[in-house]
Amino acid sequence: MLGILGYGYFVPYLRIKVEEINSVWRNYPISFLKEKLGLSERAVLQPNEDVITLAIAASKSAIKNSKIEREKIDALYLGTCTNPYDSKPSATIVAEALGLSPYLMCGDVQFSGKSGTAAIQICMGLIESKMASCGLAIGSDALNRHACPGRLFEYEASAGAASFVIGREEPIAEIEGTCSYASDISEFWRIEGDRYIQSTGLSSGSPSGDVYPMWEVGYVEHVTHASKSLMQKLGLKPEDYSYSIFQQPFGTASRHIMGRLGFTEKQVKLGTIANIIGDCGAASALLGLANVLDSAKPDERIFVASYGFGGGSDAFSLKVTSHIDGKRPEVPLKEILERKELVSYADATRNEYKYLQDLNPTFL
Amino acid sequence: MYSAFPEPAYQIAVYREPIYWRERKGRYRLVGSKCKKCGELWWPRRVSEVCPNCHSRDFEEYEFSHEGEVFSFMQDSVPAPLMGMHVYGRDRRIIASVKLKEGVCIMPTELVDCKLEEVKEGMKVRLVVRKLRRANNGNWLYGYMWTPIKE
Ligand SMILES: [Zn+2]
Repeated sequence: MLGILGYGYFVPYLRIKVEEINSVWRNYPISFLKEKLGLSERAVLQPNEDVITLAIAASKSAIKNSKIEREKIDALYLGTCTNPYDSKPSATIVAEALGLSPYLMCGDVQFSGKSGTAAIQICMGLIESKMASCGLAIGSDALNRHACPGRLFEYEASAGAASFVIGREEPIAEIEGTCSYASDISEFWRIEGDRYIQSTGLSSGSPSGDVYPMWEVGYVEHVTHASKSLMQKLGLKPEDYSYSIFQQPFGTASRHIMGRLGFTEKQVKLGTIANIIGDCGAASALLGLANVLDSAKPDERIFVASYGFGGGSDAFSLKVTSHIDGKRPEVPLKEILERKELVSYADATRNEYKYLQDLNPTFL
Repeated sequence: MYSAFPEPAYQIAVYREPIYWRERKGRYRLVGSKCKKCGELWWPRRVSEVCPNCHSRDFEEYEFSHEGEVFSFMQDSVPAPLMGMHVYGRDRRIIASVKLKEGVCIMPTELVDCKLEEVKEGMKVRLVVRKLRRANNGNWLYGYMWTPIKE
């Protein structure tokens, strides 16, 4: 039975409030940010944190919780769109820091917001085809370091990582099926050598108040196609699921999409984390899934649909098994999200390397 | 290199990645040395592989536990120049020396994700891997730091 053997997560310790960002730029009404987009705080990286350190912390916890020996892992895929290296794998650094066997299939996977779920699909494929026995799929992103000061994206761009051990022996949640939908679309992008993620202009008819670019043809269309085709394939209906988790570029995103697919507020509530921490990119839907697994009971069904700008969507259907008890992380995600220190806009900007400095500070 | 990621500090151009690379296992997950004959442990790993106790040359890698307790700590309010990443704003760092359950004390390094008021001697800490610095046109260097275990 193919499924998730264990999971772990990590979010940065520092946070910044949307009011603090708005006090500098004054470019959007607070009511719009808080009520319409459902944002309150976003994570701030420390200078010593990046996608690799977040991924290592999440994966260490995932391997420990899954209670499998780390030598058994023979595939590792790191999903991220904010890789610290343009031309060098980050997955090898993660593997070395975790002490995995060097006889490892590994690599970085890039599909913006759905990089993490794409890594899960790669691991599933390798295990189903018996090329690997146990895989580690990581979704880790640090969007805040690539959000331009003064843009709307700066209010929501956050950081975080979620890691899943995928295998066959006694999974805590069985993966019943997966389905993807992808097409060429340009609403967000970052060209090689560029620092900041850019977006197209405003779109009309978007539920987030005409600011989220190409919402209808991007997010809505891709998630709807992937989700509907998965449920059709498995012969399931939205009512069969206890929880549903969607990609959350902002806090109210899952509420906008749930009605179109027939899900209800009750199913979506537990998997929504963007209202607390913002857009975690490749870890967004996966952190929501982790939050649901923290309290899900055996035999409950979970629906997950991620979306990556650019664009595509991966939908998953999961069924929790009785092995989940005793394999949950020691500290639930809810508590980790509460552990924080608020910082000023100046600190956040400095931490994210957005203040330029003398290139040659020999003596300071 | 583009100017968005300036180098932390200018240094005389010596290519140092191979030196860092050789010590990667120690930096990432505290791999030291163990004498196979008398069982003595070393951190960092013993480069000259002769045991001073029993003169054996039979060594193996030993991965120390990733949890320990704070042995002593201090706050570094005035970081020295060329201390790497401090130019990115890591002033007021908490520096702690950590004693592992093997009885080995790890050289002082940073204690992250906590406030100075929370730190006490004997506090339980866990190893985390963080970015250390970027040396002269080189790659990012990662290494161990500590974070409190909160239950
Ligand atoms: Zn000896």
